[in-house]
Amino acid sequence: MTVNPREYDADELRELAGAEPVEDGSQATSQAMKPDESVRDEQFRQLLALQSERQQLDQLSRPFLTALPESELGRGVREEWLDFLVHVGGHDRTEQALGYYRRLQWITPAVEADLRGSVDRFPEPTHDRSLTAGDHRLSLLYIATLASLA
Amino acid sequence: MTDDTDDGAFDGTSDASEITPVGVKLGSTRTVLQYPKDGEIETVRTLTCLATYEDAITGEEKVLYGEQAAQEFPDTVEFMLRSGLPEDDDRAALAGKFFNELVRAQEIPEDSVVVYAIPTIDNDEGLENLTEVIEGSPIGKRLVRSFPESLCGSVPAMGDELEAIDEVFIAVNMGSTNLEACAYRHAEQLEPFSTGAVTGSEVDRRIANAVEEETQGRVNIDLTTAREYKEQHGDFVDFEPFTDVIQQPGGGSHEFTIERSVMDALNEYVDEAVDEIANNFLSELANTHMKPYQIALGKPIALTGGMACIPGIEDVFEERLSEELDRDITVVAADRPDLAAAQGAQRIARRLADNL
Repeated sequence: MTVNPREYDADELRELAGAEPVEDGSQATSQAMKPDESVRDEQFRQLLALQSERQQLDQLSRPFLTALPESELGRGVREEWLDFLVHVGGHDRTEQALGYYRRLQWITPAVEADLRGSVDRFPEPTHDRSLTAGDHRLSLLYIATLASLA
Repeated sequence: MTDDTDDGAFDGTSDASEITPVGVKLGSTRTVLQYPKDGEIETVRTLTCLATYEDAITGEEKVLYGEQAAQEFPDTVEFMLRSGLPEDDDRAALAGKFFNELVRAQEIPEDSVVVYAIPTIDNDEGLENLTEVIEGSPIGKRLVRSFPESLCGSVPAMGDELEAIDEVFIAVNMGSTNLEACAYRHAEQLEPFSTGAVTGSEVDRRIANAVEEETQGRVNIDLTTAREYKEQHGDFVDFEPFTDVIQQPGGGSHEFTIERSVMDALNEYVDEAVDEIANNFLSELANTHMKPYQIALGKPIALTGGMACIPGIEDVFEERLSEELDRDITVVAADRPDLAAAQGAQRIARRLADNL
């Protein structure tokens, strides 16, 4: 027997709480997810660097995302992005944010319409809040990732 | 020893009524047990200390624990979990003796499911010693589980049942020997963080030193008195200077008033805790788990542990952390943050018992 609090069974705990099982894709069996996340983290840093050098960013052609990727990986990233936005801000703020991204020419109107159609599939969160600059930076990362997969 | 009986969330009964679900927090200063008794939740809160003495008539070794031990044998009483875990074999033996005495005195059935709330400290030897203590305990014959103290403590802070398990949130445990923080994503632990640099015990030491300074060296208090000053008078909402009296060595007494010592030490503590959480824990979390970081910071941060009992600390921590991060943060705590870990552990134990 071990009493190490780092080695508890999170699945057992979720089952006890009557929580939905976490899908493998978003489960953080932390060891397995960390490399992925560190790759995203690196992308995030690059984006931040780009963002701080506006000229470089402006050299990229807008809108950044003209079509949503059809691959399984692309669909996964798109789901994760919408899940994140709804989880943080709820349905209304997510739709407003998508409009904002269209006005910034991060995404095309067609992409916005496509994404808006999927927002309702994600449940409203218990606690929500306004989206911050940090949230929008993370959205830019998702947009960059999706553009690279399209 | 203080016995409380309060947990509005439950009627104290378990569906598997013959199996007793027990929640245990073996803390460095206080140990808390919660279990159902006569249809209600019984809460036992006692100092984690032990004293032994020889019976003058029979010559037998007698054991005292908790407040009685601290009051009657202040010179020899042993707080065996000072660092959070039993450091060596001697302290493990003492911890075993303490825990066995405690559960026997409460008459907790052996046929029980026990969930332990354990601090997340990197100390393999201490954890091994604690395992021995738990294995040697007479309770938990049906099932034993252990979960992080900060997770158990967040359970009553975030709802009436086990809502915290299915949330993405950050928990901060303000203990006497450690400041712990961790993000949880649907029960999974992300970036557990612990430091022994910002602690309730350090506040006690600072209060003791500050009292000496504030009274121009006329008053020296021990750490137990400093802890009592902190617990009885520390208040971020409505602090009032207080007076106390000491007996002078040559006879007579000296009355003194404390105006700054307690709140200066507490303010310093909150500043340091905010600094550790914002600049060490959260920055690391942002680096490794950006999405959960963004989600969790939008939710209330759960504050637990003995230091979270200081009135108003929740709001002060919220305000200063918001300033440090330059974004609005909200903080929640259980009604009794000092009991929260055992309370959460008991709720989990109850579900485990129901499922047997």
